[in-house]
Amino acid sequence: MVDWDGIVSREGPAVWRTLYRLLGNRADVEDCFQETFLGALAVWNREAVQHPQALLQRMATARALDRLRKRYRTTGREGGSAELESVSSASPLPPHAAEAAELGQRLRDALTLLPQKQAQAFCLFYLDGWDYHDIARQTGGTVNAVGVLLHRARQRLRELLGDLVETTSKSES
Amino acid sequence: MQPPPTGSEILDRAIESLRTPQDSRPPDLTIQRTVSALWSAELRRQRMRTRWVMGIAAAVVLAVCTSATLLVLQARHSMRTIVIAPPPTIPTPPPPTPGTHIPVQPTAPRPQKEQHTAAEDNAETTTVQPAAFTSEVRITGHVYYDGPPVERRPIDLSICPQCMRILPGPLYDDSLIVNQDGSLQNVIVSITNGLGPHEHYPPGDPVVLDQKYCTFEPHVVVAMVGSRMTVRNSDPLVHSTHAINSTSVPAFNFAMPGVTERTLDPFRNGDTFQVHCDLHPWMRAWVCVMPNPYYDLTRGAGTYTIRDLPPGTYQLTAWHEVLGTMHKEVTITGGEPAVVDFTFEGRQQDN
Repeated sequence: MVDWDGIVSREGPAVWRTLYRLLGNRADVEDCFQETFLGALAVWNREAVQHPQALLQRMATARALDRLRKRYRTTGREGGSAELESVSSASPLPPHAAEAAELGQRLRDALTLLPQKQAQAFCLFYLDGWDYHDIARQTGGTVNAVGVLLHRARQRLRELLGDLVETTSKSES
Repeated sequence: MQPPPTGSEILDRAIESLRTPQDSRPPDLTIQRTVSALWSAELRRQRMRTRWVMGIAAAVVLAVCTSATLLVLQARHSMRTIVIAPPPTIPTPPPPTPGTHIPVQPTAPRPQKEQHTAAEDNAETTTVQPAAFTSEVRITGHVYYDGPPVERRPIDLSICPQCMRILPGPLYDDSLIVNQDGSLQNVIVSITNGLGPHEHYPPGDPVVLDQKYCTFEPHVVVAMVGSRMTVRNSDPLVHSTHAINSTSVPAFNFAMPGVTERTLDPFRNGDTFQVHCDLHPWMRAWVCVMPNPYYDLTRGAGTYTIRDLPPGTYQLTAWHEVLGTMHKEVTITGGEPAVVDFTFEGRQQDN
């Protein structure tokens, strides 16, 4: 019998952080939090899990990206901005924090436009701090393939966030 | 003046904005809900697994029962097929023409008559066989019936619908069969006196009493002391073979489920047994055990033949199950065979 009380208490904060970074919305995070652990339960019943934390973070990332895509398809880019505005209006942010929040939201939107593997590798590497070997082991690929995925993801995200370069340069000037 | 940020810098800033800790710990309520959901899922899964195991076990039991039932049905069907299949036809040798030389069999001649089958009983020429050339006829004759006309009574089978289903036609009483010329079937003619007191004879051939189409076949079986008798049931239903000897002592009594046979111990003494089936009251037969090999049973033509009897004076006895017993004295001189006919006085048949 798996000690789910201990696992949720021990790994819960890391999963929560991963989800919150990508979703930025508490209601969605709570839903995905439970879905992540239920998905891990199914994997646990199929095979022996050697690194529970890695499995849970990978699954949390995948769930969060799915939720982001669903949200993006449902509300569109404006919807995501509207959500950010509602959060901001509840607690007024200083200009620097508001800019960071908007950048974060734009990155979330851009991640929904990446292929699943690229988005997942990007999140695990840049947001969760995994190295190439861990990503390769968890995604079932090679280290080189992870490098290619990250390179392409970064290139694509730069293109998607290209309009922010002009806006930022104007505001800074 | 600060240079404008590049695309990579903007991306790094965006990444940094997401990496900044915002809400790093799940609420306790969320943790409790998640743990509850996990335990519920685990219990559901175990319950499902138990159902699967029970379902598979039930399927295995069902499959085993079905296979066993099919095997039993198949076995029954094959046994029934044996009964339905017509018996193999045995080609009968053509009757010898006068003057034809038939080689003598190298085996030693047996004075005892062979047990006749039902097919042979119906043949008029059963007494004319190659065996006649291997042994010498000493006494022969006819057995006649003199009395009111006899009609074989049909047997009422209504008490056994199973029998009615398997029978090819109506059944008639076998206790008194008179041919058109007045000769009588199923009469045993034997030497009952005049032989040496200490004569020892080899045991006779095995005999068969078959229960076929709800009747005993043959109706009268003659065997010798030391012979074995095989009781057979060729019907796909149960018969009971119940034999009572001449002193009304039960000799054997056993039930025979469909298509079986059983070989009894050799007969030890000469005796006469009445055999009947307790389930089908019309089924009756007689088994007569002879102490010597000098006997014969009248068949289709109502004749008998006794062979290889040494010269001397003997008492010849004819026995019929309904008409009783007749005795005659005969002297064998060694020349021509003696011809001794019997005539049974008939009685009015009881209805």
